Amino acid sequence: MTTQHIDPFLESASSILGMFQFAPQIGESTKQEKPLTGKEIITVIGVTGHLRGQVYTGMSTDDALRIVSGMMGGASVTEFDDMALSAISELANMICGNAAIHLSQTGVTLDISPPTVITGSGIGVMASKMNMTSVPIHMDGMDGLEICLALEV
Amino acid sequence: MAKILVVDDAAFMRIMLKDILSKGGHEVVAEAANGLEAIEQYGISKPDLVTMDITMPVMEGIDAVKQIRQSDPSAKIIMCSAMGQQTMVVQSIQAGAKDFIVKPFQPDRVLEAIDKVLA
Repeated sequence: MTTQHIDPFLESASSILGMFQFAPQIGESTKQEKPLTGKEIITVIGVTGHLRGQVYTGMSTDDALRIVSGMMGGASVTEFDDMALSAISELANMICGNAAIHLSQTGVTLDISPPTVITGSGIGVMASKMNMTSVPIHMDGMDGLEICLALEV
Repeated sequence: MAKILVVDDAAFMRIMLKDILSKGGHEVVAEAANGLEAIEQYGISKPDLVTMDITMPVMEGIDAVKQIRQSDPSAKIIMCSAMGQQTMVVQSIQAGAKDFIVKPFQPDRVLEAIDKVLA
């Protein structure tokens, strides 16, 4: 997994959040011992093809509600219900799907699984055999989205 | 105004599409959360047009397009997926889809595609 593989996911996340009226900024990529620490809502998408592994997104419940509200054109969203869960799943699907479009233009073809969402506090995520690279996507007045990639070529 | 079947595994997307379509003067006559349900619902509700996601559990969208087109060669289906790479678009069109919209989409893009396919 190189920056050439990672960047499309970050750019995709950034442009999609932009479409929902956020002003995201991609932070520094780090090799994380404990990725997604403190995130209450975590999405997981499986990747197969030229890259294999998982792509995670993590966020706080408050941020998830704000993101879902943005996805619904500013509608008030106060509870992380089934609809919000579905919207956050779709966000992860859009991020990975759009990254797959960009990667395909460089000859890297991927397929992705439907998303899984994990909710709770104090969740830890670890890929037993792969390095995980974690990148924060900063958003004004929010904790921001953490994108975590465990992919092998 | 068209009678439309909306197929997407995410309830959120179905609601957003329903909202866009009804504001555009169309009627969503049925919904399905995977390809198999889509085939069933197509037979029951006989829609004028289908919006079809690709990545779904049970049966993915391109297989559903093939099967719907087999039973009704005049079926009008528009793909609506985040997986918009060239190979997916080509496979969808070969399966019989009329257009391909990449998520996230603008409402106008969806309504324009529908008007074009129904014209």
